[in-house]
Amino acid sequence: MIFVGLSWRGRRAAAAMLTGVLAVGAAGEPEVPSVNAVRNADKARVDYMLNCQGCHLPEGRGIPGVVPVMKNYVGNFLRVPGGREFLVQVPGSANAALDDAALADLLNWVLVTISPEQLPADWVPYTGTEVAKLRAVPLREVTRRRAALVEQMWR
Amino acid sequence: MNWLDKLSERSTRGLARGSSRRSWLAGMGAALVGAAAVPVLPVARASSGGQPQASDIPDSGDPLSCDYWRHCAIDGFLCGCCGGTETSCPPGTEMSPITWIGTCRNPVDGKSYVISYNDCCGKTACGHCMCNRNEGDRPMYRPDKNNDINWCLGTKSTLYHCSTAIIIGLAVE
Repeated sequence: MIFVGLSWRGRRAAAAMLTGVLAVGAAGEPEVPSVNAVRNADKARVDYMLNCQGCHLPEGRGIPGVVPVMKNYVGNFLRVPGGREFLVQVPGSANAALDDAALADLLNWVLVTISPEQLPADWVPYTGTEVAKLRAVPLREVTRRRAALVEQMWR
Repeated sequence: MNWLDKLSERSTRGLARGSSRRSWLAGMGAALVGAAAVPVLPVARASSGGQPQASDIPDSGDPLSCDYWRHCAIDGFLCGCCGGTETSCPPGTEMSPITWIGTCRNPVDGKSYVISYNDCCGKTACGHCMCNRNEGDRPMYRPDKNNDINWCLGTKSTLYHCSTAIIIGLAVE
């Protein structure tokens, strides 16, 4: 009830602070990934519509064999070495007409809303600085890299 | 066999007494009212994610005209002139799940809405109401924002017939 009287933005900030306090208090216990990883969820959701949804479909449902399925899946990439880099360097991400901070927020939003259960407990959200460094490195063999990562997931 | 006659008579009469056409109508009426009330429940509203419902969006103009605000990025035949509507495909065609998505400004409320231009596929080109506004169109090296590629992808047939213009959300300025 401490949130009564605060604006939605204020409540979110208060919730984030509270989460931070809890995380310190309960060190060692896995923290559940939450929307707190996303700075502007409204913008990220619209950025998803305008930059991803045309092919990946709403909620990242995809079309098996035609368009990669992200729903309850894309978080698995963060469980294998090289997967964190791949999600930024894959052309749909790296070439999107979004600045580094917006792309970081979009990726975090996709991960926590579409595939939260696959995220490793120690996952750290992307930042604009990290995204800038990663997307500067072109990924040439997209299909081959993806296949290698997927193979590692099930090893 | 007398007891069997009595049993079947009693059950038939019981069934007739308990299931008049009126009681069926009353039950059906209650079900219809119930179904209409369900979307009013807060649970159903929450599932829409705070996005605008089509009926809440102020509208003006003729959906069968190229100038209609939702058609700002369209390149093709309006499905409304081809036996469908601006949100549904004509009979005998299949809506492409893979689609071009852009934004258009609604002249009534001044807000930008996210529009999905799903193509209808599976029959030869409709040929009516050709519109080519293409606002926001980008060259072929930006394929996700290019309108000259055939967006009949993920459908049984890649034959292009017409285009819809479906509001899928409110854009963030």
